[in-house]
Amino acid sequence: MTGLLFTIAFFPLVGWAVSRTNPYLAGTGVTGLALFVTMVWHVPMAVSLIGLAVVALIAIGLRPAARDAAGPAGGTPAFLSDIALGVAVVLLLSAAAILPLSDYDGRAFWLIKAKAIAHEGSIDGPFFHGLTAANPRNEYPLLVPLDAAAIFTVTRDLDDRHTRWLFALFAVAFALEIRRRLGGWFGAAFLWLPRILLDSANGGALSAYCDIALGAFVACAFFELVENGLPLRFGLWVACAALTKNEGLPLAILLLIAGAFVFRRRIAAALALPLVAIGHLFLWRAGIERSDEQNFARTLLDVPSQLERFGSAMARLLADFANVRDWGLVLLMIAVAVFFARRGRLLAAAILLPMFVLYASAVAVSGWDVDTMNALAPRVLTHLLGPLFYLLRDAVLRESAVEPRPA
Amino acid sequence: MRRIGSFLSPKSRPVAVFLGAMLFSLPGAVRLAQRTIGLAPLPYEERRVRELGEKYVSMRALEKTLPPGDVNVLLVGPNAIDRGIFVNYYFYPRASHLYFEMPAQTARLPLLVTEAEGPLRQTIVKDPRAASKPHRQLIVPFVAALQGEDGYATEAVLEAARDSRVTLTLLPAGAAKTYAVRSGQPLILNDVAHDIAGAMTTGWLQVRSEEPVRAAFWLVNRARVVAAPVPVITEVPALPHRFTGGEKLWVLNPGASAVTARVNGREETIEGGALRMFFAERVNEVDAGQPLISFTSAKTGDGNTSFQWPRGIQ
Repeated sequence: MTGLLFTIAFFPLVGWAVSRTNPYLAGTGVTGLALFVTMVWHVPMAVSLIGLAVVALIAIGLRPAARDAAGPAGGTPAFLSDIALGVAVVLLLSAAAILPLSDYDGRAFWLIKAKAIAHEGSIDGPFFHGLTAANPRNEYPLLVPLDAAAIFTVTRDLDDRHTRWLFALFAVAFALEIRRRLGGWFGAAFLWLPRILLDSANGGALSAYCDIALGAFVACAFFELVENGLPLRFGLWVACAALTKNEGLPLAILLLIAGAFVFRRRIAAALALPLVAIGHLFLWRAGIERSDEQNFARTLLDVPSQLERFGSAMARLLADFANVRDWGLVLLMIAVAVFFARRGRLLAAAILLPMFVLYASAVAVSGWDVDTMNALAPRVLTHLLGPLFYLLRDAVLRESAVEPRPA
Repeated sequence: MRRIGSFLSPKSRPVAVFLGAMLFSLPGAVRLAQRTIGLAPLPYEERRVRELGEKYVSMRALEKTLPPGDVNVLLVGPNAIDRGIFVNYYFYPRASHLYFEMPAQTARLPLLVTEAEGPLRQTIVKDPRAASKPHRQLIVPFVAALQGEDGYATEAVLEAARDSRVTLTLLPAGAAKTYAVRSGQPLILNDVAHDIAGAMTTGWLQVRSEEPVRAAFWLVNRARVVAAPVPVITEVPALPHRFTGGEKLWVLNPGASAVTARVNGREETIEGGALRMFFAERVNEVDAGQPLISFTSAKTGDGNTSFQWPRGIQ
């Protein structure tokens, strides 16, 4: 229970000091980012957590009343869509509280890191040098494991049941972000996607994978771009994406390139946090044991010799849009919507197309069977659901009385 | 979108998007709710047992039997890594060292063995079952704990119909250890010689029990994941013993006083409690005026050990 309370109190408290639009995502992001940077310099986690709480309380006390906590966008009454969303939230949180974790990557890669960080009080201790237990995917970014480690530290227990809401709430917060930016029914549609709501084994909200968290941070950054929002906050989301998964780094770079066109000179304000995050990521990696994972950045040069495999991987990735078992009809709608959307289409394309190429390339140059993409595709599409939902909303509502927010 | 969406009002199109997700989730959501409600009254650990099944149960059951400290986990078969990874996860902060092949110089830690399927176990032998008839005194003519090109250990299972204390004495070293065997609960040991002596050694075992016990022993090659049964002897076989081939000829004197024996035509003194090793010849013969146990051994191509035992011993 302590873990659940900490999850629903501490992260939103920290987040509230940064963004009143999505305190949970901001809180998990800032906490993970701050813990990562301070722990690279060997500041004890407890000190950082207390410091974060104090700074957050001061910031909240000093900040003027909320200006940015807008209601849902869109043209339909929020009441019905909120009920639809609420039913999914209740179901998801109940299931997360009661059903034990049963996934693969969450236990094998992510939460074992969280346990090790909490147990050793360090992100470069014996575990990360392969001395105390098997440490697969040792170089995976640590933002979410650090959030989970904070929960383990506070509960003084390494049982993964304390972290169940941490992951489920990423999906809820993602849905609320879509609700606020795109409209209530779109938020409800997101959380009701079979892939998000029901999957407990391969990256859904009931697993401890980091794909939904990455998708949420990317969505926040993308929405900040298309709304020409606050560069500093955009930078925060980009930094969080870079520290959430390996795929977050290329996504962060693409977002920053797109941001340079949108924010122009103001991009300088957005660069600070991503540079700190990425700099510390490389600094940390230099001091730990190398990962057992392939070095994709190096093998990507092999893509020209693997064009056939690249084509097959790309075909399987795109075919997942028609995977109704995971996505219902929503991604099919999005595939059609791409041709009708206007606003933000260029920005979305600037993020989506390079990432599709990157994902297909990664499978093409790896030793994996190309059919691996069938299992990977739903996860990598999760990373891009923010831009994809934006295109869908734009196409669906472009003739309606309610215009999307100005890009 | 004009043509496609023209049959829907602009306000109803987002609802259609929602329905495009919700209708495909609804059956699964109902099942998820049923599963959640069904498990809610149970303690959390019981929910894990229900959700994660046999592999989790066997993992937790074994964990309770282990002494504090690190464990070695031997992964048998190409897909066993997935199981090993979860041992690593659930045992943490106890360190689990995962091996596809057990290196010769691996620290002698408690061993767990897992395959892609089936329960986690402590033995190379897949399903150790006691084979002998119940007795209070037994002899196990050969046990070993060896580090080298391959790593050898002796695995055992002891069962009793009534609770019993069983003392295993490793000879000729003389080290002994007493185990409690509970009625109906097989006692499984995966490194008998090392458990008793606390060191790498070779010898034979004298087993004494308060109540009759049934037992089985195996010499296992941990690096090659193979096992050869070692018989449990309750009556010393009559001499002479004849064997064809083999690499090593072993002569064991279970008595307390020295015995003069003829081993392949040569006169040899076998001290009381000794297990002597000779190089085997094409045809081997052992004879003496007092009881002795002899046998041959040879390493097979798969790393296993092929024993030949005197007639009447299996």
